[in-house]
Amino acid sequence: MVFNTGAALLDAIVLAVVSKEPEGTYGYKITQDVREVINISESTLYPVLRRLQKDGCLIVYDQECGGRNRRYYKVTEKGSVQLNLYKTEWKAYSNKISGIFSGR
Amino acid sequence: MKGVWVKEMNRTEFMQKLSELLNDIPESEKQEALNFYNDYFDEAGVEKEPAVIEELGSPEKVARIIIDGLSGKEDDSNMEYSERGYSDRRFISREELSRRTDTKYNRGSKEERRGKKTDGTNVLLIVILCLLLLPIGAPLAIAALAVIFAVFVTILALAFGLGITGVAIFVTGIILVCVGFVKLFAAPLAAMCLLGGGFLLVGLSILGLLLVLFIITVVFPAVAKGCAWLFRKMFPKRRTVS
Repeated sequence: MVFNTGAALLDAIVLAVVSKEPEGTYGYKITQDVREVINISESTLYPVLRRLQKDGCLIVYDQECGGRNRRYYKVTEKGSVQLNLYKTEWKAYSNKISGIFSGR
Repeated sequence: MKGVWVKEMNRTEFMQKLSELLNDIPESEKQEALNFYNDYFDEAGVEKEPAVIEELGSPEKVARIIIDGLSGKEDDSNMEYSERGYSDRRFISREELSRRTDTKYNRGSKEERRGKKTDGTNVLLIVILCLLLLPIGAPLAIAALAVIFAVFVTILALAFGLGITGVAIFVTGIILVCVGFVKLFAAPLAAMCLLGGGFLLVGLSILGLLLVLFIITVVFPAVAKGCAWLFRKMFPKRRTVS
């Protein structure tokens, strides 16, 4: 891929990946899921998750799993609103780009 | 040296180093980050440990990204989440020093640098080298030209000499045959000898002329081609410079 993923788009992708799991999902899985879509470094994801958490878009909770605590991430109400905003923006944006590419 | 060390690092060393590097941020943030990466290693599993360390990069890089994230510096101004991977313009030089094996992060910038190098300094160096070598190179080139010229002349002379000899022998052979025919009845024995000798000479001369033809059509072009090739190999720039 030749196109770069900006910070907002990365936020949107992370929110979308986390929101796929209603029960929440954990850091490693989020990273792997995001990396299936865009090829970014594993070390990039932590600050994004942390910031989304601070912004109130994600909430964390610990759950026992196999004898140790696993930290789960879940999308909050605010996060869903934010994600919907991103989705709308993306639709408009990608439609315009596709339009100019196909000569409409 | 550092790159090798990073490669051999295991999870414990990686986490320890990361913990040291995060001493300047608030304790809660530090614990949060360390927990995340501890979990991360746990989820990845022991067998994926080297791959995770390889992918995360050096603890220095991970720490830098965490610290930048805290101060809100991870916006578009300095970094891009590109398909090639994370890249931070302030970080590229440090990355190159500490992680030689990593091609993902700064492939673009490396190519750029290599390209610039050949454009600028290398061309200058070649020009200087050519100028310095000119006093030695020019006489050598002249000598090489003289040798090539001599080779050509020798081959031509050989062909010419063989050709003349061949023609002479051919003429002699024809004369002998003619004389043999004339004297066939006067002195049959001697005439037979002359006839045989004449035909032999004609045959020999034809062989010789064929050899001349071979030299001119095959040997001469081959030598010329060889010389041209050698010349190109030895003095690729000399011709244009001098």
